[in-house]
Amino acid sequence: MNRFLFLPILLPLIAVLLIAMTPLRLKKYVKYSATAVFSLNILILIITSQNILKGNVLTSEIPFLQVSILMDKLGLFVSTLITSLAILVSVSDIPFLENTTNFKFNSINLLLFYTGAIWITTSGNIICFAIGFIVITSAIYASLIINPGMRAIETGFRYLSIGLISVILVLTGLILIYKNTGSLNFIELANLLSSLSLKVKIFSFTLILSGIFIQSGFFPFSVISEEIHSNMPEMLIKLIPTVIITYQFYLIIRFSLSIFDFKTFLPYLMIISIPTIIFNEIHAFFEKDRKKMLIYSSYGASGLCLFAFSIPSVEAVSSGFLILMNTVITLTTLFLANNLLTNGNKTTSGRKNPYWKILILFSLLPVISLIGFPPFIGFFAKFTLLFSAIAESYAKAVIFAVFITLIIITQGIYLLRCFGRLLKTQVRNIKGIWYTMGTIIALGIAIMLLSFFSTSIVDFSRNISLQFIQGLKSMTLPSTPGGIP
Amino acid sequence: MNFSLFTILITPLAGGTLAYLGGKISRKLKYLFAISFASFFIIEIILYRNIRIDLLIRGKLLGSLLLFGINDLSWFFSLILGISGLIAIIVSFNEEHSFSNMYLMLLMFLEGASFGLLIAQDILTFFIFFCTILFLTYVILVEINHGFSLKFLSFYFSGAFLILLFIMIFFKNLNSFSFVSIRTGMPALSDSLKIFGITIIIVWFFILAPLFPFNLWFQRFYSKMHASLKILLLSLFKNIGIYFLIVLLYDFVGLKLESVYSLRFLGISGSITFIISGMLAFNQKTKEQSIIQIFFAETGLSIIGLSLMDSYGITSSMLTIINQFIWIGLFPLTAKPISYNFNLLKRLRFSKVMFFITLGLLSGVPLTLQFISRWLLLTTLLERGQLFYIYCVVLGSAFELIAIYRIAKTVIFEKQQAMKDSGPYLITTLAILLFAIISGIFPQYIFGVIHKVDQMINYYSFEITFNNIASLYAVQSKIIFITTGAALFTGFIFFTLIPWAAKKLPEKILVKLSFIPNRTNRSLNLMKKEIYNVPARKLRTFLSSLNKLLLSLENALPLIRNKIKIILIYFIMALALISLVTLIILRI
Repeated sequence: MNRFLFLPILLPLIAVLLIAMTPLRLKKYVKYSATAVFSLNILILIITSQNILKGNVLTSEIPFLQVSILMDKLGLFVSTLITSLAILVSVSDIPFLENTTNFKFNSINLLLFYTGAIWITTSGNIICFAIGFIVITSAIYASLIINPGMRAIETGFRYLSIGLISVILVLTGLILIYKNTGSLNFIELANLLSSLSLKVKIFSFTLILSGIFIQSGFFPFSVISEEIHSNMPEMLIKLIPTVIITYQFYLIIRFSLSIFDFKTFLPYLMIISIPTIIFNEIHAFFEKDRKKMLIYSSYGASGLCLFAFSIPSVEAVSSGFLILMNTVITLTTLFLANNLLTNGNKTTSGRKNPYWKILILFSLLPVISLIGFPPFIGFFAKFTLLFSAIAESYAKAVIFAVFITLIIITQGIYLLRCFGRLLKTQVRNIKGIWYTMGTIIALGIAIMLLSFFSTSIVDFSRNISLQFIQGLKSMTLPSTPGGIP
Repeated sequence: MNFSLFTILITPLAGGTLAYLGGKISRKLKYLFAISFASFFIIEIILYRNIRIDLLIRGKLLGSLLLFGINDLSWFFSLILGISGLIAIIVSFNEEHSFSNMYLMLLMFLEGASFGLLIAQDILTFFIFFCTILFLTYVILVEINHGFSLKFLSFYFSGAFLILLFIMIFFKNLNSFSFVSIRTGMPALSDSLKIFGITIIIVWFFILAPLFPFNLWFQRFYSKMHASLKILLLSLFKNIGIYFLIVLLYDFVGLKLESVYSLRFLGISGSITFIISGMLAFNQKTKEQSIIQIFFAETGLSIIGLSLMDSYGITSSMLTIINQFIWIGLFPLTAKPISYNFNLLKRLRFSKVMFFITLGLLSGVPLTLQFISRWLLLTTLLERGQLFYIYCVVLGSAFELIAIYRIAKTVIFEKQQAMKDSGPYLITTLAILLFAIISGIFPQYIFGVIHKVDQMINYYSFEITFNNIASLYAVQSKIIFITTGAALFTGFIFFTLIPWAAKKLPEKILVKLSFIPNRTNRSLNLMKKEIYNVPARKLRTFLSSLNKLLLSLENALPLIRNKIKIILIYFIMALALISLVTLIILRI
């Protein structure tokens, strides 16, 4: 039964192969491939979720290929978030895939981009993780150099150096762990690492973390990564909050807490997160280009999630999950709306079209939720975060509260300013506008549903955080032992 | 489960939705729905007059119940809210909006949300409704300008986070959101926590009301809005703030040292606001800005009354609140139809009369609520010997009077867009004016209502009841105040109305009555027709005698008119000084 878990990571690869081999007369079916694969994946995730939500950790391994899968509640949450949003974004990409000349390349790139993320989030051993990391890095590189013009080549080269450095750093860290423990499997590693000396642990951990950080939006790397991410094609730029932010966030949490078990490391996350938040939010506030503004905003939001994780309590961690979910939905909506604005013929006058009114309504809902208006889900997230901040000492509580309030107000101002562009202009003559509209409506409805079932979602996120605060060390491997050194 | 409170809550929401749908069919239907549902809302609230509390439990949110209930305090504020909502709807009758159906719907939704806030019996529900109000305000203001709306939201939303912090602190320590548990658990909390909570709420109130220094900035927000929205939002935010302040200081904390000190602080800042806003009011460019500053000043005055911690003070504060919403509603109703060009249209005479009565209400002449409230405030202050407050009140009132004079001048002499009196306008204006005048002359009913609120606040046992006419009797006994007020009123009328009448009326009357050769002016011809339709002979003889009088006045007055402003200022200053001296003498 657990072999079933390999399907989510194998299906995209099969689809990639199929697309590569598709003859030209079947061209019109290629654009649906990504959506179909993602939908199948979410079905599989839903089927497996029954077992995982009971508290079991599902693992599966092919010893021959050294491929291993680990699915706990955290993994399920992140992979479901990525997959479900990837479906919606891929739906909005259908007209885009239809028009372009290199449609095969674009579909494959989209699939690979997703594959890398899903490999990372479901990986159960070092090899799986490394492959996923390399795949996602190369997908970003490929998307950068496919753009026409010299600028694409320039950014491509810049990313090549950065990507190589980050991959090498991560790989070095992983090799160091493997050399000292002789195990590949994450659960085994979690048990074995506790016997290692602290020096080796910290060194390898720092290597992995810095490898991840170089590509991420954390301070001071956000300026570099912003330049890369803003040059990505429109098709993939919508997936930045969904894929890049989510998987990086997942990796930091997974390595620091589940595998290395650095509970003492938690307060130090604050040192990373606070400058990240301040730097990125200020950049977003003063940025005039809306695309760049949204990218900075997503970095800032990931900083806020990390900030929530740095407060060692179940409430704070669960609020981190809620903020992540809300941010991803909101920013994806705004990215989609922004794409509409940049693509079509803009007019500032005239009666508003009915579809434009719908767009305004459904893009306002996630924004309002993210700012923290009750009774939307963002309110619960911010409420629990503030609440757990107050659990600390008195002076700290005041500083935290003022800090969080300022962030949320800043965020609210620039996000609503971005929303204000939608109010002022309206766009005509966009081919296949309803693909994007459908996605935006679905995201708005998702926010409403999440808010409606907020109590159970808060409980669920608490459950996840409880399990993952315990770490993977508490679990034992039921199946065969891991890799052979 | 008791759904009766819900029916009131749903009334404006249903009315708004129906008005929106009706607006798709015809304009009349829209206003029919809006006005009828808004009046129905007021009637429903009045029916709840004698019901103390009505608990309703709806569902779970964050592991806590949502509690609703109505008491005398929230009843009082709900009634004010309902009436200002109705006035706002009627004022919006003659306004032009880009989304007029949506605008009316949102106005009514705002009313519903604020009623929800007033009947909330736990602090989380309170916060939810407050955020709903902010959201609706944001949407409604987008019509003017998105940037403006965003600025407005960010100011008030930063205030809302202070409440969230307050909620969090008390939930952390008391593990409940409901007002009852906060009240019972409050004494056990540490002093620093209490002071912290009170400070947060006071800062929030300073933003909301707004008190000094926020009154310097917020006037420019409100001056951009449509009159109808201004009426609703000004009274809504201020009343919400005062309501929660009363609940916190008198109910949660009680008469402890913390609340005494914070009330004193509030009183001093209220008096500073009163003076500064009064000064700003007569320095503004437009009459709208002056009116808003006067509104802020009156808020300061009601805060002084609230901070005194006795029934006189609170009654005066409540009276100020009532009077404030009366004239803020009346002003756009009466000031708009008065037009320089259409000076003589017969119908507009109502508006003129009403406008001057409104100014009277605003300036606090005797036999108005404003006068009674000030009288009560000054008596209490005299008994206490609070000279600083007395000085602030007298000085602030003087500034206000000057501002009112300037407003009257601009309204009379400025060239406005010509418009006619419309039916709903006239009826509402008349109704409100009648209410204002009757309540000024026979304030027993209002005293009864306020007495209930006062008992609700429950700080110490009552010595004086206001159910009889005692206070009015007291007014008559101290004749000096009446003379002061009367002198102010006559001075006001003499220096503002007569010059206007002498300068403007006679020339046109002469044209009408053919004493002066007729000018080929189309509008004048129209007027002439209208005049001649009236049985003319008696009128002609009457008017010719009046005309002679006015002509003589006109010849006499230009000499004085240039110096009117200076004379008026000196006059008011002198009166202020005289009243100050009399107050001091009375105290001795």
